[in-house]
Amino acid sequence: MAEPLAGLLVALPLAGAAVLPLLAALTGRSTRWPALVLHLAVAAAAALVLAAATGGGPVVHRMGGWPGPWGIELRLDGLSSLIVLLVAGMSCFVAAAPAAPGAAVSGLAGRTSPIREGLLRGALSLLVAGLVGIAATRDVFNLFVFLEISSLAAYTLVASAGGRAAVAAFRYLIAGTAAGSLYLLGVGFLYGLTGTLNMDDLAARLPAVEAEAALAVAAALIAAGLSIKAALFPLHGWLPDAYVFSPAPAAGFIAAVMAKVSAYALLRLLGETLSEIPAGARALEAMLWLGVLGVVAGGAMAVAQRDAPRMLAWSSVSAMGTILLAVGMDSPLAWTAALFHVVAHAVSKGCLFLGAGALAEAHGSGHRDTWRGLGVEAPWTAIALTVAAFSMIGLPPTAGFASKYLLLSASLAEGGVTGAVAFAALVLSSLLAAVYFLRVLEGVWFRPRPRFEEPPPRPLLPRSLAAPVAALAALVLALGIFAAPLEERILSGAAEAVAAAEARER
Amino acid sequence: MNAAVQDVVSLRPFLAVGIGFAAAVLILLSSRRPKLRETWTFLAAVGQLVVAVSMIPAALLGEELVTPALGFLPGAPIQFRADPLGVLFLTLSSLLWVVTSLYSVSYLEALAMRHRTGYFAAFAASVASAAGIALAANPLTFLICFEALTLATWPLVIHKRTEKVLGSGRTYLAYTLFAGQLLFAAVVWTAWLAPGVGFTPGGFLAGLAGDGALRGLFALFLVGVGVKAAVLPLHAWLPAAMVAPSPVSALLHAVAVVKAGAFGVLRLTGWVFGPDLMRELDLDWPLALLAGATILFASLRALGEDHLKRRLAYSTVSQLSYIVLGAAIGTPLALAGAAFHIVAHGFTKISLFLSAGVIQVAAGKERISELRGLGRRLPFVFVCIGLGGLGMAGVPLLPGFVSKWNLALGGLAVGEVWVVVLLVASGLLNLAYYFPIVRTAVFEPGHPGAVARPPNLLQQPPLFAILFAVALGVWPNAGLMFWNLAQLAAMYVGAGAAELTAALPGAGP
Repeated sequence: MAEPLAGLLVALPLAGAAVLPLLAALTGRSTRWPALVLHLAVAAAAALVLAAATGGGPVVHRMGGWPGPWGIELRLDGLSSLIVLLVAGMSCFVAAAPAAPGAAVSGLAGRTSPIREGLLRGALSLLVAGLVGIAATRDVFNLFVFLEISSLAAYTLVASAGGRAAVAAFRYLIAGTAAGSLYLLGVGFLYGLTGTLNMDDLAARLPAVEAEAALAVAAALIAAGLSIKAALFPLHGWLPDAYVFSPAPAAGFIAAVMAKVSAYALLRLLGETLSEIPAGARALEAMLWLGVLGVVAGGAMAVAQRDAPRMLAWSSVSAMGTILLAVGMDSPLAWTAALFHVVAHAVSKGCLFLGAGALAEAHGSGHRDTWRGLGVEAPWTAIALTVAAFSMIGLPPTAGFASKYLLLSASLAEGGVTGAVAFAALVLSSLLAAVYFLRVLEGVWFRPRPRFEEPPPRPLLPRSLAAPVAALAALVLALGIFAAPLEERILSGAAEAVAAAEARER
Repeated sequence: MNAAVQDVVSLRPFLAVGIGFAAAVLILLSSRRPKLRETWTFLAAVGQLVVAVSMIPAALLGEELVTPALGFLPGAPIQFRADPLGVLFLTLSSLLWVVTSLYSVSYLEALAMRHRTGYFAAFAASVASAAGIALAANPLTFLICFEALTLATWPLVIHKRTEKVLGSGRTYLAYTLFAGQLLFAAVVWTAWLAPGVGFTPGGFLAGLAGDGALRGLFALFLVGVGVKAAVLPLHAWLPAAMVAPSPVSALLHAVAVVKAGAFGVLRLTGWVFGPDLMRELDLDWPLALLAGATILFASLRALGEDHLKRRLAYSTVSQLSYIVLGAAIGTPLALAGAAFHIVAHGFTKISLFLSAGVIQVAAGKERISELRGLGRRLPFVFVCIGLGGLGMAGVPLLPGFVSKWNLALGGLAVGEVWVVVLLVASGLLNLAYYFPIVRTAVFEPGHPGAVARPPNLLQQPPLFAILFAVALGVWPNAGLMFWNLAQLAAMYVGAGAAELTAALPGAGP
């Protein structure tokens, strides 16, 4: 029963991308509720698949009935089904939000035409299809296709705010296309060397050609391409503008999952498929050191920002560094920490970006001083954002605390100079996060709104944004308090993946 | 665990920690009804005290109440344990919470302060966090409560919300959160070395890592808890935090927060590393020297400080390091003295701070040089300050004597004569900076200006605290078994350091 569901995970949002605009054109009405139903359905399917994958091994869907290594396989094991659930779940939180920029101010979805709204909701659906595909596919070329699908949808969503967002989207497009081309080139080399595109098949055949110089080039190209997508410092240039200028709901979703799915692809490709060859190991090591750099540089840049969304964007650069640092440590414990951080950070950052984006639209400025007095004006939103910020700093009892704990444990287990440097970088990043988040929270709770400023519109956040912000904050707390089950699930998934890789070798 | 100790599974420690947090929520929800709000505070304070006292007999009989372990993260469950040291600290902070709450109500009223709901809620959350620190059974639980304490105290420090005060709040956060992150690192490291192990009398880290690594871990831990204990050079936040209202300085910056730090140092040396391992790694004497330096330095700074509360704050910095000194020496007597000093200093110093608050309310004076002539107008206040000063100096019949006596004996047991010299010198310095306060107020002629008669509810709490302190000095158990608890806690640690236990039975003043 689970196998067709696995296919639906990609097919459903892909169909939604076409159906939602059509529906809007035919009925002339808002597609908010159909879109929400669609995303909820995908999330439900993802949850079922995750349950099946946890109980009875990976759920495999062969596209067109062709078995691997010839056909394309979607394989949802303990790890990939978790990422798929994360993507599908996060999309539900933004699915009902106003689709267009500025709508958050007026609270009127009607300011945009239903057709335009349908197109944007279709783009979100397409983005989900692409991201789910990246996480699920076992075919390296197919991964490229999904990468492009998701990127195109993301460019559209970023650009939809108009104005400076168009420039940000164009920059994102240039970087993204370059990244895609590098990756594709790498895949071409791999195919030339081995004659296969299936990841498992590649892993089996690569050791025979590991002396080839072309293999090192292929590994470098793939790592570079995906690192751009994952915004690994110093290849993060597209990220801050793209996150800052997108409309609030799009920023909430893109900042939460977009780069992380590419990081996950890096983990699977470098950690599994290419793990047995020296070039792959070197690429992983490079990830680790660049991750360390990114953690520190992202945090330092975030401290320097006055604009709240931009501060959050730089904090994302730091978080991507954290995740890739853990990916680079290449042990089941480190992977567990990386993926737990993926989940924890997605939920917390999604909450913060939704809130920050909506506030910036309400005030017409993202300056962090516009957050002053929020504790009095919108106490529930302020509490939600505070919880999410605590999670970013790593204070108990939030999800971020649990992930910091796992990350620090993983770097201790790593040991040596590498472990010590990673440990120090992680501690430093928490301190920097404390600086830039508490500075904002001080304003939120303890400073009045500057008197000369015009009072902001009421309500500050439309209900369709305030509700997801509150729900995500509750999730942050739940993940922090009940961290153990999630951690165990990821750990067993990671151990399973490692065991499977070892079994293939034999 | 110690062979003599039996674990009894119970939910009562959860209750002791939960009451305060529940009260904080209830207080926030009743912001429109001041009477109800203050009722919650009193109910919680009294309730916490009752629970604390009810756990004393079990702790003394060696049947420790332990909550079930809640699985949280690998190698680190959440668990609370009512061991003698924890119950000692919990009883102290609960009793003083009741006293301070009475005082707070009239203090805020008299000075017409705003944000009272937030004040009482943060106060309850702070005391609850301190209760969690007292009863934490393992480093992770300790850490969580420690961080909660940092954040819950922040709104209280910046209660007045002026730019200067917000700046002090930032200093406070910068120090404590920095320390919190180092403590976090140390806790993860410990859980990785010894998964699932809780605080063990006599320590549990021996032989689990190389000497260098253990020294590094100790340093992380020490900075982590040392900031709240205001050990040199990490003390600067404490005088800065004196911008808080007086009841906050009294309960939090004389008892709950700073004692949480000192308590953490005791846990660290007695229950994580253990005196034997400390000696083996040569960590005991650097820590003792650091404590000694802090004691002298802070006393000298106090001499030159004209602002009354800041002088008291430097005195706190100095007194906290008595506890650190005892923890560093690590002999049973020294540990018992250190643990008892948590109580002794608590009652004495809270009386001093509450008195400073009365002066502020009645005469609007904050500096010592402005106190001329006030002695006749506020006689009870200066009785408190005089007795408090004597207590700080360690004069017999006041509780500071009991702790210092045992610290000195503990130092002599390991042949450290300088400890005695240091304690005597510090006592003299204490007299040198407390006596002038009383002299200025009582003997120097001058016109204090308008002095309002302070409400009774403001005058009684400091008087109660100092009378209780006198009782403690004469009878160190004072009905709540403080001395026995301190002794027992030290004995458990000593059982790990077997060769020193012989010195214990029958010791005491």
